[in-house]
Amino acid sequence: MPIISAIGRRDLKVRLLIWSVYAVLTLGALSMIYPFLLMVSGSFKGETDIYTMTPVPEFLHDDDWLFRRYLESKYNVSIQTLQIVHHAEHLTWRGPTLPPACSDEELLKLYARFREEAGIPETWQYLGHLHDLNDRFFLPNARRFRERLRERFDSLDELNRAMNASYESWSLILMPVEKVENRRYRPSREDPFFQEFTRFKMTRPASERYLCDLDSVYRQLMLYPKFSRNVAKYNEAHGTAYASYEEVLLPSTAPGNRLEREDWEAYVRNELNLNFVRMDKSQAEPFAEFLRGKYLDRIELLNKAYGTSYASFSEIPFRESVPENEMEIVDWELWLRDKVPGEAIRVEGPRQAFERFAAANAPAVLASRGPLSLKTLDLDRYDFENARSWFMRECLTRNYIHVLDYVLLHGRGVLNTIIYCGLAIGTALIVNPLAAYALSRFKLPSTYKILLFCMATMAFPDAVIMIPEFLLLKNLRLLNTFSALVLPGAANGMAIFLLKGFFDSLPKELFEAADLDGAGEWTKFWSITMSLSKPILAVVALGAFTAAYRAFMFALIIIPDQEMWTIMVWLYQLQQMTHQSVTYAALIIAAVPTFLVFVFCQNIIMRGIVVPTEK
Amino acid sequence: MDSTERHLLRVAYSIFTLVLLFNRHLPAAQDADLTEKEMTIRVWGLPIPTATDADAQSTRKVISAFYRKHPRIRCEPGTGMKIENKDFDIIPLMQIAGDISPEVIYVNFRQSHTYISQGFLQPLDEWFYKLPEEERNRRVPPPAWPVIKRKGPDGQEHVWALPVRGLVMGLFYRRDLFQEAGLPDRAPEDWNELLEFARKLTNPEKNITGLGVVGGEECSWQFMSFLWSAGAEAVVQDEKGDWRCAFDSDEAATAALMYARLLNEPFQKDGRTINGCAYGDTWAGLYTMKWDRGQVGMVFNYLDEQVIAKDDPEMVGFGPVPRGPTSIDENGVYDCRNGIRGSEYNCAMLGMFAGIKDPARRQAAWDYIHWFDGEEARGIRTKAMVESGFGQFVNPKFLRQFGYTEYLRLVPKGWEDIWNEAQHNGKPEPYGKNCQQVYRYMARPLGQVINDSEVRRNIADKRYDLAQKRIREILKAGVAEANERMIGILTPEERSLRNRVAMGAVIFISVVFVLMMRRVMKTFAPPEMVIGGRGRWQFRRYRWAYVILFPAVGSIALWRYYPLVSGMIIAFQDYRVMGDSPWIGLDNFAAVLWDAQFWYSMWISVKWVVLFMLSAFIAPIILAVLLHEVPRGKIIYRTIYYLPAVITGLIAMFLWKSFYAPEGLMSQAVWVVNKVFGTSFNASRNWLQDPNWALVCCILPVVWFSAGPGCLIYLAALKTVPEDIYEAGDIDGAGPLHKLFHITLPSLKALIIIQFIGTFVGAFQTSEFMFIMTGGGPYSPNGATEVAALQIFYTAFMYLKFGLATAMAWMMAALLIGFTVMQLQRLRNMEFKAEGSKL
Repeated sequence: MPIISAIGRRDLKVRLLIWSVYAVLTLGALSMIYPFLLMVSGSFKGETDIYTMTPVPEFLHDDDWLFRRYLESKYNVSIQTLQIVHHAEHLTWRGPTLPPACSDEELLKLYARFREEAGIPETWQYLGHLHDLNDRFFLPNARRFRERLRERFDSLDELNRAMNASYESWSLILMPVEKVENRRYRPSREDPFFQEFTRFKMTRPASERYLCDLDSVYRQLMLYPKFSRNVAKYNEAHGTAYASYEEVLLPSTAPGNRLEREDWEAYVRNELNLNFVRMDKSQAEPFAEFLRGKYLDRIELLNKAYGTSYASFSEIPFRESVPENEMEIVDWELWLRDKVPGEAIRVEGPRQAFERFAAANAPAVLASRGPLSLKTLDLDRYDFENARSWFMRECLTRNYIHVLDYVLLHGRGVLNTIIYCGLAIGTALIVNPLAAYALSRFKLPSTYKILLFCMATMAFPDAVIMIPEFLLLKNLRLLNTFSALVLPGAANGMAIFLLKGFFDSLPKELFEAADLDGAGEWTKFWSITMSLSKPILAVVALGAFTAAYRAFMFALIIIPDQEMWTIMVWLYQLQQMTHQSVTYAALIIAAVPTFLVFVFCQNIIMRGIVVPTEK
Repeated sequence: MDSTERHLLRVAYSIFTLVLLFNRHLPAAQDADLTEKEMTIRVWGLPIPTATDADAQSTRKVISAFYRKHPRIRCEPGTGMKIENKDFDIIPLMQIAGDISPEVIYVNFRQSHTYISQGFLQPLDEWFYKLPEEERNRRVPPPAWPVIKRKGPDGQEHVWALPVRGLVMGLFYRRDLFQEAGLPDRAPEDWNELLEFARKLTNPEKNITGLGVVGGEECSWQFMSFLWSAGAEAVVQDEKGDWRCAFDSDEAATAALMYARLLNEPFQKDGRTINGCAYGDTWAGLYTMKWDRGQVGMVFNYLDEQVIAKDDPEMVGFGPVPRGPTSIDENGVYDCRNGIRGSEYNCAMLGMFAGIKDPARRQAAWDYIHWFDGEEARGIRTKAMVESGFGQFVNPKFLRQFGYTEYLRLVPKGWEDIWNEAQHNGKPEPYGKNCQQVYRYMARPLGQVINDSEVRRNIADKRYDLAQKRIREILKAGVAEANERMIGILTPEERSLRNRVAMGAVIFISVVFVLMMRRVMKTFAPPEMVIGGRGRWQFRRYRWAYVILFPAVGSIALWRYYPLVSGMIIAFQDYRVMGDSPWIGLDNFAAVLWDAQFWYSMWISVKWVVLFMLSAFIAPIILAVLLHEVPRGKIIYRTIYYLPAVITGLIAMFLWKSFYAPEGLMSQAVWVVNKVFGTSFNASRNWLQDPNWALVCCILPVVWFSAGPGCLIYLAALKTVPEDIYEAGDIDGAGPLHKLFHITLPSLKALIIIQFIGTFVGAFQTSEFMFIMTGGGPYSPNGATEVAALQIFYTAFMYLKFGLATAMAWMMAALLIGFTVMQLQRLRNMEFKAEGSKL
């Protein structure tokens, strides 16, 4: 502490000065550390809490936040889904809170049983914890599904052949987006990928799936856009007297109110997925007539379209629910759209099934409660309590697993980086020291010319050399090779100059003694020069490692082939397409090597501080 | 010397094998005779395998059928690297430059000239003309003919690409918002209705705007429809076949006026004045987000020929582009009775990469191109669409052709109109030489029109004729500039002036470099004559020294000097990665000298360097002095300050980028500042999208991660200052400030100067940080963070204009060389001591 003199330390002014220096340093130190804490805490977060900017994730100590994270994961990061299943207007994931224990325990139990035992078809439900629509997260079920595929197929190639696909990597296998209530959601049944996915979906426990709440979907997609979220406007338009929208349901059969019926028919005929529609048996005759008309009364035309072999139109069985054959579906749907009378259409969805289940298993519950609605919020709480410890673990590891999956399963980023760093260190330890040794030992008469030759190009900014250098690499057909990464930077005038200076300062007596002993040049280079220069060589190696590890922009253009990308290039790609929290995890993982180097090589770094002084 | 020899050979050999061992071998493209073998080609157009939407499903069926027909061919997606903030047009260019081009390339209208003239595309004549004439005409819609059939670099006319999917500009609207605003369920018919609807939709309380447009550099894309609807043109072809900008006609001014009215004209609603009924943002993402959230009533966007249902058809309706006017009256009402609809017509096209050597592979590529949108493929696609419930969203043309007539009456009304409209008035996207740039050059005057105070005032006062007059002036200037820059239309005097100036510049650069090199040589010359043998090489005597010097010297010769020389040559060429590179004399230099964008980027570089020196250069010095003063805890502080450097600068950049998000750390910090100090800074801005802040955003992390390691060298130097000087100062009664300025800093002077030069040179060449943080943006239309080094990088590696980029680099080098030479001189005269161990 030379500026603030030690003499007047007790003086108030001096003390104040010292304390203000401490204050400034401490403030600065905080600004150094805080971003780190945010990065670490952010790497455990998700869509719900990414912007809370707290150094400790809330979900670790606050159940509300953990519950929100649970909902986010279960409903595939889709806030619209949450709005639908919880009948709530949440605009962000911060909306929901952990509800108090359910008051209607009996109904909840019944619902949980229904979910397990009623054999609900897969076309009525979604798989949760799967993905988000933009694929910024890989949720646990996506990982499990990929794992399952890896078990089933030995190689990616085999999978591609079986699935008729062209995946370039396991981690690029994205999950299908389910939209089970939507009429146009009609995944091809023969599609092997989808079959596999559906089988997988049904092996997951019921608590990881969720049912399609048709009443809520109907309100959200049909009624709100048309009549706004204000139930008074709905009542006004229909002459009804509902107290809240909760009472407006999608009835099984066409409602009596003419205006309500119009909405109902418009929705059921045109928008509702066919898996929820049933047609009355009475339609068998008219439907056959319709087919006869469409196929000009020629059964062979129909057989051709359906790929069947009926002898006559009367042989075609009438289907109450949607048929399997693709062309048959087309006709069935056309019939539903505007031919069949409204009375003959019935909606059959999870609520209807639940009511029937209740009637069969617990008639008392049904009798005392009127129309049953799906108790999703309470059930979510119940599932959440059961899954708490698993889910906590999931939150803490999810983003890291995502990154590791991406880095390890996706090309050879890690291997490339290791090879590249190894080669870079190797060349840095050989090429420049050799040249420096030659200049230092032999006292060439042309030393200055050679040094001039080596250093003069430093006068030219990199941009001048970079472009023709790239073209040279291209013309030598070296793009996408390790040579392209290593060779251009192998020799460096400045490094030769510095090393020569160090070699010059080695005691000459050693070399003279070695000469007396008859040592060869190699011994003098290796056993004397190099081994005496270990500290400075360690600095050189460290520098080469850091430069190779962080090489990015030139690397981007000379190794554009995915096979050759290094970790930094992967990182650049990853952060463009994943969620911020995943990026944080990736940054932490990518920082590990340099952090370890720092921890173990602190002394080398410190020794490598070279202070130039005027001669 | 035998053992030396062996050892040296061993070393050389091991380097060699190491390199060879890990080098990746070239792709299988070189393998001859693949006719009988299975081959994999990389193509455009494969759907994402897991997508369950109807479009992907149908395309998947098309591809499966292709495999059945050509069992020996397999297809792989030709994905390339994504560059943030840059459009997709550059991906194929980067792939070609990087020797990883797919066999089948996606070609669009605006890039077609570049691909053809640069020789990237293989002429398709040998296959195309074998097709029956009827099929040829069916495959190529009339507006696409001039695009695909034109002269190539060999001066002959060829067919270069095959259209696979048409795109037409249409107007999409949110049905729910229309319902709420009491509007009919259809797109506005003409410009009067467009204004009326947009105003009715606008609702500031709910944050809803009537029309959403892309702002900033990309605004011209949607504006094109206004232009055509008003009867104007963006570019016209002159007698010589060159394309010129023409967006300065009266009609164009009408279009720009309409655009400005939508964005700015005040109107009354519910007793309050609202300024403008359209919303534009430089960040395209924000406008899409608002559209998805239902905060934008209408947008102009492409409709796909095959199928319309990209959005949810319950929510979104569409119609043709509204009819433009023939005149406007003093109340601002348009006469649209005889107006036209200026729909843009565009095509996705497939071309073949010219670098394929193997004929069998070429055949395979053609098979794919031909199949992708052939009759069979269309049939498969249409059937798949119908089967997956999308019957009513398929182009009625295909429904009729493949016999799904029962869907015709379900087809939404606007669909067929739009296509019929496009057949009549559809204008192909500009496809001529350099025409992709018309978007950029039109954006600038358009932005000016929107922000011009005179135009604004006149619109507010409803003096449209005056506004239009002013707009014409702006457009005129814009067109003159665009023509000059884009097409290089110059008067002979102008041209000779430019050449003279360029010649002067080149001579100046050469002289500077020669002089500087002489100084460098002098610096390195030994101080005194070495007796006997100065200047002699004495190869024989020192042959071993030369042998061990060879790897380094040879490598420097190959990787430094050769590029330097070839760079000098490239700067005078129109360098092409495929085919011959013609000499163009001084044109590159002339272009750079007159390139406002380049000089703007130089200006940004200067700003960046000043910022850098004021913060990232000074911070370590201050930190070192402070650290040197504290009696206790020095090591802990030093370690903490070093911590950010541990994660490398690159990762620090990625980290900080997240802090600049609209609700990120930066906004929250400002919010806290506002709370504590009662100030009212705008906290909710998108920091990286704000031209005033973007550059500052780039520098902050640099200060953050470089202060700690940077201060170490000064700390080490401070240690070497003897204590007794300070003690002498104490005895003289010098105060802390006096000691700082008269003892501490002077003792660091030599170090500070050399660090200053080094940092300065380094800062001037930085491009990586901006590349990661902002990609050079925000653009308006010049990039607010696009420093010269970054612009050179883009010009060379993303747009493949190597000659131009090299000329730029030389210009930059000429400005920098004084400093680099000074740096060399200083380094040469310095001694280097490892002082770190004293820390």
